[in-house]
Amino acid sequence: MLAMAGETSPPSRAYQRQEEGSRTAVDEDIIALMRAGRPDEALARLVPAYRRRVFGLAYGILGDRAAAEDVAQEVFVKVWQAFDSFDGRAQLSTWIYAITRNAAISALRKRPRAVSMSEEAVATQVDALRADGDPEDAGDAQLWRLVETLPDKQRQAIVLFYQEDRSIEDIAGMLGMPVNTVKTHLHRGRARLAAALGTDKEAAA
Amino acid sequence: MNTEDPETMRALDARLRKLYGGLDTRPGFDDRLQARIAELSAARPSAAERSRLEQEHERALAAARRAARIDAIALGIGGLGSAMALWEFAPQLSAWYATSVETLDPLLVGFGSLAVTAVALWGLLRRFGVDPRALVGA
Repeated sequence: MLAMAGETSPPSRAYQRQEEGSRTAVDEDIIALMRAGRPDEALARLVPAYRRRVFGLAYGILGDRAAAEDVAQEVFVKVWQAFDSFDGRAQLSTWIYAITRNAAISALRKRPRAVSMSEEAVATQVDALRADGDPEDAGDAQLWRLVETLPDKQRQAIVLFYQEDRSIEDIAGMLGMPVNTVKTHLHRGRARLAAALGTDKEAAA
Repeated sequence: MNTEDPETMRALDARLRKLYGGLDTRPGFDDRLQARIAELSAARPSAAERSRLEQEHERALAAARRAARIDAIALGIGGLGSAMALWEFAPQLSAWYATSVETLDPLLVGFGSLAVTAVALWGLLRRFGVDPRALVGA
């Protein structure tokens, strides 16, 4: 079923493979700059390569755009400060995602997710997501609410998958879980959403 | 609604992609980050300064190690010399002590001996980095 989700957008997959290939080269550049004692230059390469990923992962955990952005800032500062301690045994991405998950979970402990939000708060969150300036769609708020009520791992897998049409392997690396587990979460999350949307439609009819 | 219906799932995919596809930080994220980094950089010592501080630390550590070695050798020689002197002059010291006990107040001699032992022990413990006051709970 997940393959089907990908089949709907072949250009995205091609772009993704290309991006993954170049990301490895970018990682190598970043590591070389870190080892050369040029942390500011390493950060300048790192932020564009990882900004959306770090932010998407933090958003998936926190469900709040402003909080996720604060976490993303914190993550990059931490990475910059800890460049010296990166020994290269783990992949750069694995290291950054682990820092992101820890920072987001720590932020979540300080300020739990607000699932039962007011209509106004939901509209604010959905407006913030609609950064591309698309016209408002009442269904977006409904769908956003449904995604927010999914179990944590299902919601995180859904957000990361649709943010950039990422590969399951990539999402597994970001969430720190096996590929098959991600597939299951994604499958169950989509099935739940489809069922919930169907029920809402039937209730409205 | 049949959740396995390909048409339904395609529609859901499209809606999710539309909702989350634009998920990104607000404009100015990089500038805000650079400002924070610049602030932290100003407070952080430069690479040259860090290297100088590290070298200074290494030098201080090496000097402390040297001093500790010299102290240990001096203490060993002193201890050995004292032990040899005690061995060598044991009869004279014993006779002197016996005479002192006879001529002086035994209580005074006892307290004097205790005081000398305590002072020696105090010095020895301090030399090995142990605070004698912590041992007696003071």
